[in-house]
Amino acid sequence: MRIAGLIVAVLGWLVAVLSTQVPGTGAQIAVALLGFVVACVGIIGILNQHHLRNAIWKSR
Amino acid sequence: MLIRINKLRFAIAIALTAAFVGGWMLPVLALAADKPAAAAAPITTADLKAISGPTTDQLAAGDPGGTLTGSVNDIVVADSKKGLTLADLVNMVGQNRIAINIVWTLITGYLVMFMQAGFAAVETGLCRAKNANHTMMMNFMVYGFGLFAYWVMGFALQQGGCAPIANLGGLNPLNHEFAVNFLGGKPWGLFGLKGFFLSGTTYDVGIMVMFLFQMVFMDTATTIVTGAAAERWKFVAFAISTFCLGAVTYPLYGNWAWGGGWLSQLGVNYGLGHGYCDFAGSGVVHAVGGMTALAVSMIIGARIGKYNRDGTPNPMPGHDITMVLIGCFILAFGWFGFNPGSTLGASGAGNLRIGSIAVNTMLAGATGSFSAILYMWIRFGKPDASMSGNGLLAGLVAITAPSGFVNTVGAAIIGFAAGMLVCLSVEFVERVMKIDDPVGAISVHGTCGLWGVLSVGLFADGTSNYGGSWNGVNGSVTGLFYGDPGQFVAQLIGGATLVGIVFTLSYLFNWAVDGIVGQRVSAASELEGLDLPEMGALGYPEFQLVTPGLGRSIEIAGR
Repeated sequence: MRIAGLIVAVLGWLVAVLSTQVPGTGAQIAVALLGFVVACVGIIGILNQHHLRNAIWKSR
Repeated sequence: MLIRINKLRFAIAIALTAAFVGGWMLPVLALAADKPAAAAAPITTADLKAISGPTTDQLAAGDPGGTLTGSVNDIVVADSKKGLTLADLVNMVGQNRIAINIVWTLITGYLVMFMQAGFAAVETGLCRAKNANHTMMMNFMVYGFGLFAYWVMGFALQQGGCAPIANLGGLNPLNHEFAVNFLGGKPWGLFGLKGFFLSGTTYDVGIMVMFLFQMVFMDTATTIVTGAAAERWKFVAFAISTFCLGAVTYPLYGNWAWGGGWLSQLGVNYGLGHGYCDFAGSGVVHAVGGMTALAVSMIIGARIGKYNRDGTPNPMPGHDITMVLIGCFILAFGWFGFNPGSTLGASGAGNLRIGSIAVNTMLAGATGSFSAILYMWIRFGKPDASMSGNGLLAGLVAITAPSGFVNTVGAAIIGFAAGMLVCLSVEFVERVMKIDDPVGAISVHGTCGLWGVLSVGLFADGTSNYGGSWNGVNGSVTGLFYGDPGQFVAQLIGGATLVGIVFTLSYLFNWAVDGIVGQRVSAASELEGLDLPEMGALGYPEFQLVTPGLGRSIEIAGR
């Protein structure tokens, strides 16, 4: 899960960077925004879930 | 008699009218009659020699009015036998411009350095008294650890290929940027390679100024992490983690944004506005610190007692709100170095915009604290002191990137939104992500730093002119609301880089540190407070400290 979260975060960055290759500014904004959101999902949605599963307060 | 008086009045009225009309018309007529002015004769060395300054006797009498001090006598001549020449005069003007810029950059750098005291006060005040020494010591030593890392390699990686920087005399020895070709065969600058240990050709007056200024910025980023990880971070882990941030993570992003790296070239390479623009570091400083704070907080876990078994959070109030708010004021003061100082000069190349930048800074801080207090008052019925302070900081963090590119209305909106955003983010981080951040650093610096980055792409009004171009693209930085959507794309890519790359790098470094020395102190140390177990001395040795909610009283007296 840790690695998966980090990989998704990096993939999000890659999507955002690929917006430079998309024609049209509107499409570029959409793709860059998508990349930003994917990177956030990698951290908040995947990586953090791993840490919450093993959270210290669950065992006390 | 009556007729004579009327005649007299009439004569006076005619005379006054003539004088009035003539007063306006004469200059107009004179202008119309003017021939084109002859071109001024160029100044020659002979002219300079004809200028005389005050005599020694005049100066010996003192100069209480300040009219004699500073004259032709004070211009440095290259050859005393030749006397004053035109070349001396021109060189003096050039050196004065660089001198003004160097002094400006140094003084604003000193202001930024003093922000360490503000961070120390805010973070220590927001922690419990049993951890006061430990928290204060992290904020104190982050200066030394960070500085050392930055001197060894951080500065070289960040600024090693940044030349030319005209405001500081060129910085020409910083001329080696490592780049690879990527996406469309465009050069992507990744890191600099000149300036390790500030040795060799980088032993240069301008580069020393640049180092000092950039170093205190880096130090600001490293001190953000200590707040988020406070009250359970092992001191040795903190030291190693700080070194990694100051030596590698921060400099890499700094290079991409400020050192001529690939983010700054998005405009030149792909036509995206002026490339990624981050005037004073909402992204480079604050979001980098915020992302690292998030990574460390995830790895290190929540403090004991912060969350119940069902995941509901418990409040853990800090021990000194006066210290917190004084710290916030110190930070707001230091921010006048942070933002206006980022022009790297006060003379020439549009640098007089420093007044506008300073006003934007104070406005955004004020509207940030205003909106945060408004939010807390409406939501919880009381104007919360610590969140008011965080609102101020949130506004300041958010305006840091756009401060040089926006007008006052934009600055006020950016700050106001940041104040709201920080309150929402603190709740999200604490209640949804269940990440324990004792001082709200992730929200203040991470979330609002990202907002600051994006706001450049929205609110930049296209009036700034720093030497006619920015990041190698001619013209002024202009955001989406003023007609350049490409700038917003560049800012989005910069934000995605912070989340996708900077966070990942920080996470990997701190994961490794966790595996090598362990990030977290023992449960016993944490419950006792870190002052004695970690630092060997208490912050408040003559007090009896009680931990609310845990039913533990720590006897201090006599230890």
